[in-house]
Amino acid sequence: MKRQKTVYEAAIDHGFSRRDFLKMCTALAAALGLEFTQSEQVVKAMETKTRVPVVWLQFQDCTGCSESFIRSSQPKTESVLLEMISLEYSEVLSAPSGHQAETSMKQVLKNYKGEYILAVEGSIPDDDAFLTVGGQSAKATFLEMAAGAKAIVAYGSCSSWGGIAAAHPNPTGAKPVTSFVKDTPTILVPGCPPIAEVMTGVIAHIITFGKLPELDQFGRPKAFYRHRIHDKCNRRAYFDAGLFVENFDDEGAKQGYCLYKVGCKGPTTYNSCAEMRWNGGVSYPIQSGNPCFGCSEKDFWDNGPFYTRRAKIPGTQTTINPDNVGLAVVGLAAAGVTVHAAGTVIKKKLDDKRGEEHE
Amino acid sequence: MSERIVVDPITRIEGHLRVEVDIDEKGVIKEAYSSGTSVRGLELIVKDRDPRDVWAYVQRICGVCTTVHALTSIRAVEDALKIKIPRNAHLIRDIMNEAQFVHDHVVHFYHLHALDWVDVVSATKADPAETSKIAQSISSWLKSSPGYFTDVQNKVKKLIESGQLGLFANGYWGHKAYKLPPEVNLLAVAHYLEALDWQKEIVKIHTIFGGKNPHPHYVVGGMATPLDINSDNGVHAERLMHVSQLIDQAREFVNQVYIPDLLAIGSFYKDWTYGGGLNNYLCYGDFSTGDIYDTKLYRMPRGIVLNGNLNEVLDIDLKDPKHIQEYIDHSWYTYDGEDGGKGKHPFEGETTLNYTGPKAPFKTLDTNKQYSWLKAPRFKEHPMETGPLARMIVGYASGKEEIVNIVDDTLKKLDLPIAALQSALGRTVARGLETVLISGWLRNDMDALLKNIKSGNQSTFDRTKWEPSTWPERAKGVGWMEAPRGALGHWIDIEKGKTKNYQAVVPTTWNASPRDHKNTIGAYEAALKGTPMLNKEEPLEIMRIIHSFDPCLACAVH
Amino acid sequence: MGAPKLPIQTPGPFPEIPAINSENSYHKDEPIIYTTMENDVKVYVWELPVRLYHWINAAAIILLMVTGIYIGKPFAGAGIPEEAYYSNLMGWARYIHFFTAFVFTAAFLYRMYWCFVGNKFAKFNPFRWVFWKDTFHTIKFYLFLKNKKPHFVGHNPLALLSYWIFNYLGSVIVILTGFFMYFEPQKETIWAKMFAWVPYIFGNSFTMRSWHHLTAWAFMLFIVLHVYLAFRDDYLERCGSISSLFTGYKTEPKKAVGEKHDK
Ligand code: HEM
Ligand code: HEM
Ligand code: NFV
Ligand code: SF4
Ligand code: SF4
Ligand code: F3S
Ligand SMILES: [Mg+2]
Repeated sequence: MKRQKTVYEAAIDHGFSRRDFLKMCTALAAALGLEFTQSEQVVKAMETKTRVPVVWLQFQDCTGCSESFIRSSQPKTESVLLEMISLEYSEVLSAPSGHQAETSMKQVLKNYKGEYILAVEGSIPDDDAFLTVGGQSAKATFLEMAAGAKAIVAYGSCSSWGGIAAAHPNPTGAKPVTSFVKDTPTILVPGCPPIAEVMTGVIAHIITFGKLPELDQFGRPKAFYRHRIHDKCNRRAYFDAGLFVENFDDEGAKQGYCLYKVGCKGPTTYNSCAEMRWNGGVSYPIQSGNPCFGCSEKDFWDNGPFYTRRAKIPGTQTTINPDNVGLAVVGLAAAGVTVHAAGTVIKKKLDDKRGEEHE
Repeated sequence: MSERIVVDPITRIEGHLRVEVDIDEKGVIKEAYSSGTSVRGLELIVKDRDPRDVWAYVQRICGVCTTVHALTSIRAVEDALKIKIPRNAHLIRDIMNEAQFVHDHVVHFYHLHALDWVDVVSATKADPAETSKIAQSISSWLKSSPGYFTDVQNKVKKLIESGQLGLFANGYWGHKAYKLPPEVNLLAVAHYLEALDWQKEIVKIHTIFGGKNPHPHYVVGGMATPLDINSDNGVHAERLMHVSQLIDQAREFVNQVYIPDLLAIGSFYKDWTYGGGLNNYLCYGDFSTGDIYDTKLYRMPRGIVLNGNLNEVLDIDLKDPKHIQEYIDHSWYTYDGEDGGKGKHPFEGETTLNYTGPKAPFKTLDTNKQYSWLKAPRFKEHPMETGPLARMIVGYASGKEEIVNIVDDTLKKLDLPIAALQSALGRTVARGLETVLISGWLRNDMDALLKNIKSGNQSTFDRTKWEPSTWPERAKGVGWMEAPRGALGHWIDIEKGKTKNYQAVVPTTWNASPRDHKNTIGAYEAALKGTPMLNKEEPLEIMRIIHSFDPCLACAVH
Repeated sequence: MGAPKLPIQTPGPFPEIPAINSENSYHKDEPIIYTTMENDVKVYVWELPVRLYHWINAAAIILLMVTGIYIGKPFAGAGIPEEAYYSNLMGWARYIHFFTAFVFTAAFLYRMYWCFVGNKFAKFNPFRWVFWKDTFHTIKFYLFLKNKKPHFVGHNPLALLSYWIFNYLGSVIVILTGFFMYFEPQKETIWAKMFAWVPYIFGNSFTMRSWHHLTAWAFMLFIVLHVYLAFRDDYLERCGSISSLFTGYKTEPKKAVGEKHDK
């Protein structure tokens, strides 16, 4: 096989100037949360590394994650596709179909064993009846491609946690990738979908540093999932102040009060929406007046209604208003106690009387 | 003897589509079968949920037409609960949908469809100076210098030399059905890349009003995004100007890049007249200048054209149990425990998964039996095509001036009769034409919104029916809209504040439908029939026809 | 009441043998007692740390509940509308909650320590058959059934059980989930790392809160029952069980403790 072009060479070949290239690297470094001085490292990595082959498999998905991926601003999607990675297989974007498309996939397995990144979008059903591609079991294809991959990147809440298809009652037995693969290093990039720059940032990290980013205990890259929305929310001051939106479009909503009381799940959601924002930093759901419903959290579809704060009864699907239930239980107990108290007094009176008679 | 050709996966679409065709010895397609090979069961997942939340679940039916299921869902709930939303909310929703159309159609043209007509490899042989001349003759778009096209050409050359072709590897390059001169191929490739960069801009309209894209947020009763020109937090002057600017940029891109490219490319394929199909067209209509119930004020009219008869536009009632029914005789479902035999109106609809197909890995499906995860929706037992072509035809037949004019003008430019629209290429042209109209409405609706705000009306949400305690014990409703791929309907049955039943009948369910109880074929299947294939190993013709519908299988099956 | 047929040690040196029960049958140490009336003695039951713990804990729980419910559902809006700068209502609620949480936790830990070094009334050993037998009798007692409940100087076993289930186990749950949530914004600190394993038991951030909030209500349920039973006990047995939680002393019949120190 002939020597592959480095990212730098590819960029220059694609008509980018050295200056454009450096700019891209700086943007990348920023996206990775690096100091400006560290962008040197990125430049060096891009100058010496070839484009990383990527196979992007779609299972029980909605393609929202692919769509998000191509919204990337820093680095631009074109740069990602033409300079950083070589997207060898994608059901949404690949030119060939049918067996020619399958050939593309097989070539990667043959030529780049242990070098390519396997991106996965969508959950995988245990039963092949619910998903075949090219007459093949989706699960089998996944296992085959996973075995030869350098790393698996599970894009989106579907492949990370099971997502929408796995929401109760999970009619197809949908599962996250981690249920099937154990040996290949796997990065979870949850979100429904994840933010574009988070998606490209993870790949950029692998290319730049030649290793996986540091992951948290659930397998998410710390760089993007370290904090809760609530910790960085632009409305946080109003939370602390106790100033809340009570109704959509009320005065509080216009002033930007906190959305906690209309159900915001920001306090329990790990994602970088508040920090990076969406679509080139324009906004994010909370900024635009919508309570976060926790789309990057495990099981968020089953964590109760979106517009009220509720608690889940552990181990069940059931969510309840804990205060109503608590009050009811305590009220019942109090009523029981009253009855019992009356009984106690009567019994004691009777006992005392009997005792007196005995003496 | 006929031979079975299988194309699976069909790429450059959304979702998992498999097409099987039987060709005769001359390579002409005799029979076609369209199959959706994946299912998630979203109609079952939303059962028992709070109707106010359902939009978010069903929005995940599709991330490509990422806004339409959410919108249809809240319309269905609002219909059931008789909620009247403020005018501003209606305008914002329309603006978001119009932005969705423009985005979706441009991406479809360049990234999903173009490679069926454009040979990327041939672009390396182009004379960039010549491309520049062509570009400047069809448009005043600034990026058109010979130097610019030389740069693009170099990118392509180096890509090929690098041996890492990525997305373009194993394409049908050099296929005899490609007819464009290298110069036009180069032009298209340049705009493939430009469109990639542009598409991420227009969606910022969603981000401003709904917080993100894909999957912006919605709310039953209006929009959560507050309008307040005197607040530092609501949608104020800066945000409004940002939206305005995005709209103007989008219109420029459509008029200066997309449409000129479309007509230039189309004019080379005028003789390729295949892919017409059913000639039955269905539209629910949308883009009301009043509210959603003012069907008379729809800029995109409602109606049905049967058998290509442009003299008559039939009416359609989404709540009439006889009008729309879904059949499952060739689909992997059961109704009341039976394999089929009858149709069900969505209010009575049922989603019971029952796979009877072959065990993977398999070579072919048993197309005499059940062969798809799509149901087969029918209008009074007629299969229907829906989408841009249907909208242009129904609009034309209804005499909508805007639509009649743009269709007539374009046909005149291309020197074609109206019947020419009934083809794969016609569908692709219709998509472009409606993009022109819709991007104009985008401007109009934004202006209307600004006017409203100026006159002091800033309300975006109606809270009177927000609390479930204000709802009736039982309520049914239907939400409809025109989505990029066609007529979309969601039917909800609400009982005691919970979703009792939910059914979606989606544009691609109509178009990619399998056979029904009478073995009547669907729109894809009809469009493929009779098409000659030059090379059965490289199914470029199938791709052209199927792609002209802009398939979305996640939508179709859900 | 016949002596239970169990392999038990008799309390040995007591001249007058008290009825054997789960309290005196396996705790051989003898309580400090004072003679008061002819047949009664004053017994030192609740040592100072236990009493202190009891009332600090009770006060902390009330404060934690009030602030906690506000955190979960901010029923009152801030007084000064418009600008966040002038108000810090939720901030205060959280601050008080967290401050109290530290006091609550410290008291809890101290009480746990006292399980090892305190007197026999501060201990708990459910791994004895007689304990459950006594529990059963106590339940019958509360159901107004034929009363065979032995007399206890300290807690009756049912009460003891309720303290361990609701109070001590409950404390463990709110402390673990509470501190996990408390350190959530500073994942990299050593403190957060100490609680990093908590999600493996209580799930992610969302279910963590659910556990915390529901357990808070379990405390409320406990308090209602507990306070009632405390008063009831006092009323029926007139042994000063409530005042004992202030003074440490209970008034008991001589035969309940033996008369060793009765000189
Ligand atoms: C009996 C003791 C306690 C009670 C009754 C109690 C009650 C509550 C309640 C009801 C909530 C609101 C939960 C929700 O969001 O729905 C809460 C929140 C919280 N509690 Fe407690 N709690 C107790 C002990 C503790 C302890 C020991 C800690 C340890 C630090 C703690 C830390 C927290 C934290 C961090 C929150 C979340 C506050 C926020 O994120 O704004 N709690 N508590
Ligand atoms: C938040 C409220 C309270 C909590 C969580 C609580 C908890 C406890 C606990 C854990 C014990 C066992 C002490 C130990 O061995 O460490 C206890 C004992 C006791 N408490 Fe409370 N307590 C509360 C309020 C009260 C109140 C208001 C009273 C009286 C009116 C009371 C009366 C007693 C008595 C009499 C005992 C000893 C009962 C016995 O002999 O078993 N408690 N309490
Ligand atoms: N078919 C379809 Fe959609 C559209 N447009 C939805 O309703 O694409 Ni995903
Ligand atoms: S995670 Fe969300 S956006 Fe991504 S495929 Fe799943 S449903 Fe679609
Ligand atoms: S809006 Fe949500 S994330 Fe922001 S401060 Fe309020 S509760 Fe926290
Ligand atoms: S809903 Fe999702 S997009 Fe961000 S603000 Fe919440 S995590
Ligand atoms: Mg359906």
